[in-house]
Amino acid sequence: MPTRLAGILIVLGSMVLPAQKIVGRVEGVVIDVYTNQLIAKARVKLTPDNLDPLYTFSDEQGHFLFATLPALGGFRLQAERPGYSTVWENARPVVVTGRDPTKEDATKPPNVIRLFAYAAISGRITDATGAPVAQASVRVFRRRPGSTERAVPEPNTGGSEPANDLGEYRIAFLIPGTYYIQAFPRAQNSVDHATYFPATLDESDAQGLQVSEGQQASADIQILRLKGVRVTGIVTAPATPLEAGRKREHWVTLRRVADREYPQNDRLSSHVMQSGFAFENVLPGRYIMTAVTEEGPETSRSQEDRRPVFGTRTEITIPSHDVAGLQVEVQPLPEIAGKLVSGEGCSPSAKIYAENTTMWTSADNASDGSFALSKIYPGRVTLTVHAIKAPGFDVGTMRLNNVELKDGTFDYPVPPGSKLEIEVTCRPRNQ
Amino acid sequence: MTALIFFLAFLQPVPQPRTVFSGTLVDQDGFPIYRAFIALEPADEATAAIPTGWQGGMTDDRGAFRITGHHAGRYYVRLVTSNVPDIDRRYMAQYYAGDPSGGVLERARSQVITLVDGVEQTIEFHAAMYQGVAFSGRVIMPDGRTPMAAGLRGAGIRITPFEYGWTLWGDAAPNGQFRFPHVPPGKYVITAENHSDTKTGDFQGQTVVVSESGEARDVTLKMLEVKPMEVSGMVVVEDGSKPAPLTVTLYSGHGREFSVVTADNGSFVIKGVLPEFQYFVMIGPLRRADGNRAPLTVKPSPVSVTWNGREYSRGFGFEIAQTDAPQLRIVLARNTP
Repeated sequence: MPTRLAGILIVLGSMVLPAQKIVGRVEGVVIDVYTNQLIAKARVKLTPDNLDPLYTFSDEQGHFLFATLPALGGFRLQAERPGYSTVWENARPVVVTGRDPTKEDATKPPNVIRLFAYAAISGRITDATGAPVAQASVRVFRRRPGSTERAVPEPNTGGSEPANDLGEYRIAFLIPGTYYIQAFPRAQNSVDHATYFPATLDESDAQGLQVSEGQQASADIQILRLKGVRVTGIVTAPATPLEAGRKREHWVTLRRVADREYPQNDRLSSHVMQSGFAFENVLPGRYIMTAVTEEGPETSRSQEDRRPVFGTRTEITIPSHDVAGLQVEVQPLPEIAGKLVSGEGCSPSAKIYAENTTMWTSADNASDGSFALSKIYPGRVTLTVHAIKAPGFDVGTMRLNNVELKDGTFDYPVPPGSKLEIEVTCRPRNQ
Repeated sequence: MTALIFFLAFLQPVPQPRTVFSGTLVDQDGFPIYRAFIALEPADEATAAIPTGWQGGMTDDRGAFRITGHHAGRYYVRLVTSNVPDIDRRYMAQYYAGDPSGGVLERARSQVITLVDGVEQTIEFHAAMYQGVAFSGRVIMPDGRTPMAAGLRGAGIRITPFEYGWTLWGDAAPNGQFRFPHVPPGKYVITAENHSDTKTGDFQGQTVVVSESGEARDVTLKMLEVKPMEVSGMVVVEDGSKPAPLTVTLYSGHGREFSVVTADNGSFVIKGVLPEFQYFVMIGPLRRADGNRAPLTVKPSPVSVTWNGREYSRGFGFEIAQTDAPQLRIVLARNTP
């Protein structure tokens, strides 16, 4: 039992020399969390609260010792070694802390500093001609086992690095796991597309790259250049009269259905001219086609002065050949309007979201509780109500036109012109 | 951090790489230094004459860096560690010395590197630890009280070298006292603020300190109440001709924007400007009554911007402080088609 013996010796030492206990010591080990091996030749940094850091190296057994320390107040301990990283927890590096070593109980167990040999993924991004894509942006995602969640790996705080002028990238500080890599074209043109490793546009076809502790993995990506098809058509709108000095403009947007997470990718937008709309280089696949007619003063270019009046939203499948003569019919946009009524203990306001759109509004009893969501496309809309409660209260029930809502969410088939009343009650929180 | 983002923002619009400067950065134990900034500063007038702005590159986990897009010429190489997380502050801003014993604090003693088109220049930069000098002092409120007595939790302190390029950040305690060990010797502007995004009614104090060795004690930063200021200035054309009226816009790291149209003689006054660490100048065309823009006869990117007699690098912008009586001089080049 050598460990126990050492403990006894230290205790005896402090009993024998109580008057001279002005010199403190801090010791411990540096350990690899994945292999449980002790790490030799790590540089250990002891940072006192108000003094410059002190350094020592771990010995062949991974043990380190600061033998003669003055009174320091508190301190932090870290270790570093090329190729190793501090362990992270809860998005922060784990730092070992201690109290003044001249006052510390000598029987305290030794400090354990945990490191791991980080993995890195590097490679080269090229375009369809094989030329390097300088400054291409590269993202690495780690998928947690059994989850579809995409997580930025810890302790790699970025998860994204630009490539250099040779198209070379390197993403380091990765913990062991399976990683998905996506490279983005530098220039925004319609033929080069954000490409997953090894060579696919679709997240579901992306191949994970498994890296083990300390592994230097390589993943080159050639950005896919795909010429799509041409999609043309016209927009027809109800012939309702327009006041003098005002104008209407139509916009058509195509958004790939597969790209839920990054809706800005592969989103094509077209201003509809007299002759109709035209999209070039549309890749075959499923798209949400949205058309909207905006009305505003003829002279103003400001977005704020324009108001959507007609719209439509449909799913469309683009085949592998050109599509001509699409007829997109826009209809008057319903407005979801209503009133928020809130009971005692509820802060008289709520946020009301229409899901699957980017629209939201807030209702506020101070201004009589009325709310209106415009630019809701015809069809089924899910609304979510977040009631804001007063301190010490919980949200009780929510009712929509006298029907109770579960979790503040309800599907609402939108009949034009109907009125909503959302009633929120709150109850005192049970302590 | 804002400084760093702007740093990087100005790295982007490099037209095409002509030179390559690469290398590794290690400390005295041969350990790589991660996330340090390697900056290149022109070492002679011919190199300085070609405006490249502030450029450099960050080191990766192996201490490796690769910097492209500089014009051929002679450069000093400087290590900037002020944004490196958790680094020992004794690895302070220093110049490459071409020598494994470590970088040097004096630029004159450093090793100049020569960049040549089409040739990759590679170095191994050994950083050394330096004690440097220490700045200590206190922040006092306009009425002489401590920040705590005035109801503040303390103050943020910024130490910026007079020649600009990097910044040290820290805090003063609620009693107003502060101490910064390990600052490279030199001339500095020290600023105290109770909010980093200064608004009317906040407080700001500023002073200039020169220290070559040891410790600069008793640095007093007297706070002034922040009020909107008037910035006056003059736009001149390099060749001595008069610029047609144009729009001068000041925009800042915190998203403030002030625009004014110059008078016939090129002078302008911008009102309501708040003090801030980083302002940039943008020159734009005049908008006519019909909504169209008048043609711009000058280049929109200034040849130089002088601020109360101080020249600021375009990568970093310039500071407006409450203590200044801001006078701006913007020199533009004629736009020859």
